[in-house]
Amino acid sequence: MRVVAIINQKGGVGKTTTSANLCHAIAESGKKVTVIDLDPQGHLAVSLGIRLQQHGGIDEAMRGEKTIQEQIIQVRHNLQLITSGSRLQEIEQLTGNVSHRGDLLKNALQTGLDDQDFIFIDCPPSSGLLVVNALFACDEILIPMTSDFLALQGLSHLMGTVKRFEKVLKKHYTLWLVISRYTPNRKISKQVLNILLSHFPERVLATAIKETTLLAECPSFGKTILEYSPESRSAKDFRKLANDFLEGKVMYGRK
Amino acid sequence: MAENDDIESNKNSLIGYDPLAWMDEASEDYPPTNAILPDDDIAELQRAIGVNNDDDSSWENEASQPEIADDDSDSPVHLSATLNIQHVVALHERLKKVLTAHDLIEINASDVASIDTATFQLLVALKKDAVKLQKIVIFNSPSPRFIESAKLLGLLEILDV
Repeated sequence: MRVVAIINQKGGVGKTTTSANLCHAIAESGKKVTVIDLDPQGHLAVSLGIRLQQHGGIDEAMRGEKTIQEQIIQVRHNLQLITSGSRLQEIEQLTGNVSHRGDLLKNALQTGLDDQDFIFIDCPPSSGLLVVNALFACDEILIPMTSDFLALQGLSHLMGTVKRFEKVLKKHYTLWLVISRYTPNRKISKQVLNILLSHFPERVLATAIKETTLLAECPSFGKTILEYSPESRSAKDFRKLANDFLEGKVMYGRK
Repeated sequence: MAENDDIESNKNSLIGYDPLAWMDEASEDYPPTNAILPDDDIAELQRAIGVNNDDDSSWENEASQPEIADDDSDSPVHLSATLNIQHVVALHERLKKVLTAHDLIEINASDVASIDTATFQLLVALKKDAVKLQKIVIFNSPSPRFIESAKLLGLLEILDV
């Protein structure tokens, strides 16, 4: 089982869009996927068609009040969702021993998901305790990146965080970058991509997800792009991206 | 750095500098972050979250101290309901001023509903420095959450609550 955190402290880079569509595409390929909405905004659940979140989610599992199995919602064939729950934000406010608080998600995931091929964690756009929990629980990090300068700046901060974690936890994360909201006709997009390839050789997944209006439309219908417009370029992008991720297909650039 | 130089020397570049250039250097001088890190090495954790609780972090060792309004030196200090790392700098400045102005520092902790370790580090440092200066710090009416959190961290005795 691979545990992958989808992280970028910058907002608007496509974390939730990537989470919903990539997870669905991987599930369609036959892999068993559980995706956890670790963003208190709960947008991933909405994107997957779960609008009424009256029962708890990962919040209760992290607090030890429920097991992970009790929180699972089967949202598609091979795709399970664990919603954020209404009290996830409160976990950011927990007091006590910091080391212990960082373990909550990892501990919650210890049992109950053994039959899954992948666990994806859709992280909030922050660097607080929830992201700490995600980094503690995961072995791989998938970073959606837009191709603009501020995204590079945000990535620099994120990499500082990741390097610190690697040092403190004495572990090495497998990094993946996804180019999202890509606009190939902009010159700066290519320049940002070149910078990424120079710093992350063989870590940028081969398919760039292009910016389209369809991707902006489908969450309001509770559908992924694979359902909303299955033959669209965006749907094809995500199917290809899923294949890239499964087979480790990456872009090659100069170093 | 070569990449950065390439960018700066390329007049056609639309990117002024490369924020990731530090990654090419074998350095641990990572860019600043607000992340809280889980760690069983408390010194490393403190460094990582930007809160230095070493002895050399006492109030007198501050190289520069921002100006603070006079009424900030009033005692008692009323702690707000939520105390986290975002508020530590302001609280630090306030407490420094109060420590300078008074021999008896009263802190009203009755409204505290949430408090993090960074704030506790600050309060412990205040207590220690007050002892050095032969001054007294008293926590008035600490809320149940304040007491519970101090107990969890083993700070009841040092804070005297």
